[in-house]
Amino acid sequence: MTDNIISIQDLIFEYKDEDTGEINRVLNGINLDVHKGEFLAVLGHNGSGKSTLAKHMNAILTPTSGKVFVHGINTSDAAQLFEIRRRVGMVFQNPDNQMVATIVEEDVAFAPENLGIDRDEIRKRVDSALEIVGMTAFKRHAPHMLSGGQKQRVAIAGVLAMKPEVLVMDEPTAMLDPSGRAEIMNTVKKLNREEGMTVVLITHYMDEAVQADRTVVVDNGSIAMQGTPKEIFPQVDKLKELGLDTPQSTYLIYMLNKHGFDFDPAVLDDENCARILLERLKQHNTDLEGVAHD
Amino acid sequence: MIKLENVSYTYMQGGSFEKKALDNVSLEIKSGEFIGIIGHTGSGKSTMIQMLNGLIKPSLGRVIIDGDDLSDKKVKLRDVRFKVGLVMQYPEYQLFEETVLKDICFGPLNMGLPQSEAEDRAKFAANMVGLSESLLDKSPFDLSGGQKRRAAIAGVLAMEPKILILDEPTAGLDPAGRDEILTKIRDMHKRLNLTVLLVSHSMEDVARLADRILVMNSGAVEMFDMPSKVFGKGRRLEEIGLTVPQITKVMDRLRSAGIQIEDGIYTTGDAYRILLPLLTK
Amino acid sequence: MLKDITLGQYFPGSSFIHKLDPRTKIMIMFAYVVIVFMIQNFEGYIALTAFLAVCVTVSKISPKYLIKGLKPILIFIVFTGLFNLFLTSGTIVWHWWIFTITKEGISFAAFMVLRLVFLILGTSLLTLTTSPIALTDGIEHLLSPFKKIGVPAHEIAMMMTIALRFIPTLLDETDKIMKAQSARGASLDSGNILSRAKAMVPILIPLFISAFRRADELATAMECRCYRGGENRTRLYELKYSVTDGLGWLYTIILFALIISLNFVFGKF
Repeated sequence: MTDNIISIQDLIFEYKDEDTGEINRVLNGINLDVHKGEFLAVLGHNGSGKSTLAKHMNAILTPTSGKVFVHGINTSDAAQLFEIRRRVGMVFQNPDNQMVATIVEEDVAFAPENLGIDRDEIRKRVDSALEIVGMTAFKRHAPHMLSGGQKQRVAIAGVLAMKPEVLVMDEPTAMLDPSGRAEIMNTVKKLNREEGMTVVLITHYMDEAVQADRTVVVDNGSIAMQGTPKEIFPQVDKLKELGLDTPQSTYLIYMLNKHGFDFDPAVLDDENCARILLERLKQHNTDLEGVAHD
Repeated sequence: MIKLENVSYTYMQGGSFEKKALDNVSLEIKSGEFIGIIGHTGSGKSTMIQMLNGLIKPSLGRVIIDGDDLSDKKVKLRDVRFKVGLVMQYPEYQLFEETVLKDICFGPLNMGLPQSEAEDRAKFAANMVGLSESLLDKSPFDLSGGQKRRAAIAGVLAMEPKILILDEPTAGLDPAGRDEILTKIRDMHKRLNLTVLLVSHSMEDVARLADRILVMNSGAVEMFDMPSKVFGKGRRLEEIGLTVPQITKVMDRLRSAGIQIEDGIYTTGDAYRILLPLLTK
Repeated sequence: MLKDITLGQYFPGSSFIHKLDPRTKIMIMFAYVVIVFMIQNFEGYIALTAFLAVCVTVSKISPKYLIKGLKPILIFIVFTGLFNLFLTSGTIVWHWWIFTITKEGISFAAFMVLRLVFLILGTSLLTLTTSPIALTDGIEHLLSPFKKIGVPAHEIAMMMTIALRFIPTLLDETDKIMKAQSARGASLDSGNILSRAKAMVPILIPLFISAFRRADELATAMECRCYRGGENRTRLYELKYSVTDGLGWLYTIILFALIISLNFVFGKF
């Protein structure tokens, strides 16, 4: 056994269009491993196949050909379905459409109840899951009274209560406002860094993907690029071709390098960008007086 | 042409959940302007835009569109709605007709236009948002996410409003879909001489398009100025839960390190133009 | 706005009535309904008023709030009253054109209105003091003996829970769609019944489509959380009877006995 929690081998997924009878190939030979403890971002534009890929990670969908293993268990093995789903927790885009109960803590208890865990243990798990996502104070609240970011944190707690080995999140921030998005990203990073949770984040926001350890770009059902964010994002032209963005800092350095400079292109945030620009500006020892108004 | 005079709005007035959504807001927007509206959730921006076409009536104050006071009984709110087109959040959820064309015709037909003219307008609007003719006979539910969104925008545009208000038209779209919609909105603004009010959470989008930016906070107008002026107040924006574009942060860092550059730089292009001479001199 | 509907809302608290087991409350509710129908004279209603007044006081729910719950069905109450007032034959006390009021009509109308009002007040008290989730739990448990004859107790309870969970979401959504269509010039509040019904189409279709989409996503989310029906399912909260429930029953039985003896003493009104 390696340290791969999820191992995807030559995954092909096709479905038949019921109207036209055509066979659509959504995933076209994906090979991907998810390592224990890593934070993996899967990027891609809408319709690239990234959500379909996510649904293969906990046997909501099973491959047309190829194999997906979760902790060594083949996801096509129907007898192991619940074992797989317990290990791979999944959070979706719309926070409203994944809450079952009318009270926060009852919703978090939903999965352990389904698993037949005894009451004292459920209690413990619910309390600790709510604690981790910082929603303990809201445990007796009704979900519809919460903000989008809070609902999504409850959804994460609901999955954590299964004690999964990996958390797969399918565009969890797409419907949230900036503060909600920040809440979720902070929660995810905390889970990954402090609790050692393996995280797979499906997203089309590059500012979320830059925070990951590793990024995979999916396009047209195949893996188009993979590497660390520092390897991926400086490839501005290629990303644009794939319908994706680059951070403004990365783009600025890219434009300057195009003009003949030799800055390290692996710049992802404003802090590093300002730092390397400043170094260069000081090095040139430019007289800065009066330049502001040219 | 749009004027708010001391407008306030209170939710559930008198109840125990009473909440002030707008507090004494006064502002003026001229014909043909492109206004970006930003503010965190609950800042009052949604309430304000719904007031502009009479969906919400102010508790106090006056909303004046083209000289007509909307609280005046003689002013027909339906006519106001045709003049002030409002595209709500996730507008694709309002699609209901059998075909895209019929759905876009819904507004024009409600105006009492004859079928042929409604269809002409619908086709023009579809073209304007970049929906090809071949999609018009399809069911709106067979379109892709981005296409649905544009069909819904066309449904409002076909009423030929003078003012177009869009509430987060790019929410949930990927970068390509977002760029496509924003480009179309800019085209409409220029070609049809529309007054556009664009509500967005994305500072980058607003910075790219707007002549002036309206910043809302706790139901009041926090700032209403040109983008360079607004983004020059990065610290205040952060205090009220907003951010500035990343490039503004880079330039702010350089400036606070002693580099003499102006504040409120908000596009990568401008930053590049300013830095290039500094680096090559 | 649609959100103003307050009928059946839960009012959190920790009173004696709040603490009763939901099964007890549902059963007492049934007993209460039977008792209301057994009442034959106005003296009975006095006893019932006293019973309910004690319940309301103990529950710490403001009587004003409880009575507000009658508002949505006020028309129904008035109609019942008028119907019985004018259509009961007997000793005429007032007559004008085609309208006739009889002595019997007055009593009967008052009687029917009281019956209706007390039924509503009683059921409101149940929903005001019992959280929806406790209510569905109670129903699930009460139905479980019937599982053997094919009553899907768990499924019924799950459906109720989901319905309760999504009512606020869908009301919100309806509000948004109505606004979106109004912004396209749909007129929802004018014209005759036919054109009004037609005007509902642009609201109902998007609403149904959205509800189906939500149901589909929810089903996937439930599967992801290992849902497999009621089998081997445990619960965070198990229902347990306590002394409180016994006291609740005792109180109800006293009322029952009182009403029967009042019927015996005073007879039919």
